[in-house]
Amino acid sequence: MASEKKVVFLRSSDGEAFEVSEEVISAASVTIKGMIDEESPSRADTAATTTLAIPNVTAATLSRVLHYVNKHFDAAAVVGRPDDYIFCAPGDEHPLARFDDDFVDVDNDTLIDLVHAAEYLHIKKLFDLTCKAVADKLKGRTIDQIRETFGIVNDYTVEEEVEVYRENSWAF
Amino acid sequence: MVRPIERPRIASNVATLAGLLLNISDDDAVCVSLPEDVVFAVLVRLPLKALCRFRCVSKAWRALISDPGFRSHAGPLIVGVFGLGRTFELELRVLDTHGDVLRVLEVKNCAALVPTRLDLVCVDMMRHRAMIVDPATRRAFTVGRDDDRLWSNFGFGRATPSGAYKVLRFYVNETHETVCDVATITDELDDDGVEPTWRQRSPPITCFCPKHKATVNGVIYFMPYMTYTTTAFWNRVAGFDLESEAWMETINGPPLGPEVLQFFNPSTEAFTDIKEMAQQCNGMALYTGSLLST
Repeated sequence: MASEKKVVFLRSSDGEAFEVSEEVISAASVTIKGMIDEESPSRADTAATTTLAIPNVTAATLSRVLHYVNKHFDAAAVVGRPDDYIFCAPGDEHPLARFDDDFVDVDNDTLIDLVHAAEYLHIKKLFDLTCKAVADKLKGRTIDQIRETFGIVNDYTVEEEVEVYRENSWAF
Repeated sequence: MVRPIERPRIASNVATLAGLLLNISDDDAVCVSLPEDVVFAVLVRLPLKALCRFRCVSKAWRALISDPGFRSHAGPLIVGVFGLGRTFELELRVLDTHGDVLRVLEVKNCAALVPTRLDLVCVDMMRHRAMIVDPATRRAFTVGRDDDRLWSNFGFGRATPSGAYKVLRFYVNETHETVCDVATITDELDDDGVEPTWRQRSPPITCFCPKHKATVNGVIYFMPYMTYTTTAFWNRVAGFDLESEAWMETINGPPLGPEVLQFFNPSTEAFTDIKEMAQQCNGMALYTGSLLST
């Protein structure tokens, strides 16, 4: 058995194939690890590399996801590049914190696509990161903005509304 | 064209989140849907303050956000006594892990928070008094009587298994003896000057500091005053059991740093022992110069 780095190809919903180390993607994505495990008996006797269809994720999103995965889950890449190794004193931010901040600094469509992809591919770290980014975008909204954009009709009576505002007045 | 949309619950309507983000309420072309658990995952990551504000949106929103199942996913809260800058005034603040101040309660000057992990907090008012505060209801009452002459120090915790809330008080009396007494905090107490019954217990061995303490599983643990290896009890920890109201046998604390300091040279990857420094070390620094140049 060849113990060299095995790769798999992931084919996006719009037909583009991306190469990724089997080890790295298995560590990152529970969904893809499951797919690879299912495939492995049939792969033993052929030299062909596996191509997995990822029907729910577009090429643009998949390429972003793989960029994240390679940065976070490829231990060899981190150890092999000492220049990137930052001396990390207690209290310093995580070396990848800057990368993460830039990664989610995208438009809303892209961010929602990433949440979807992380959920579908079951990449917990990426799911946490993107959900947090969505929450950060939500938290500054006013009550009226939320009602307006959600199309919610205010169903409080005047008395009830006074009461609920009073109850939560400290949060404004 | 703006269409009012019926949205009975946030979690049940998956398109709304995307709509909110995109700031679009009337565009049929936008139909990004997120599964319920994703919406939930986003909302639990909101700071508590924003969530509480969003209760005002509608009855359904208030019901969801107030649901205990939802709230249990929010992070822990922190209480602290903070100074207000130039004045000597202090206040008790409840914060979440986002750093938002969720609630502010008034405390008098000269107060310190007793380190606990409970649904009640105890503010040590120093001069023989402590204030027990329920941050949820803002109910607060004082135990002990104001006494200018007497230094005091309080511990607070919940006895195990009875669950009774108890305060432990230390003070030095007129004849310079350390006195230790305990009182049970009950619902009948309020701020009308109703004093709990104080039960006197034997004081700890004097080398333990009433200030440096932590309450875990009904036992208040105290650190020694001195942690130099040359002093007695330097790594011993004293414990007061709130259930039996008695001191436990002192236990061995964790080792305070290595016995032998080691210097690591990254270029040779070798360790060098620095035995002489082990007894007296108050910190180390990196030196980047060379002693060989002159």
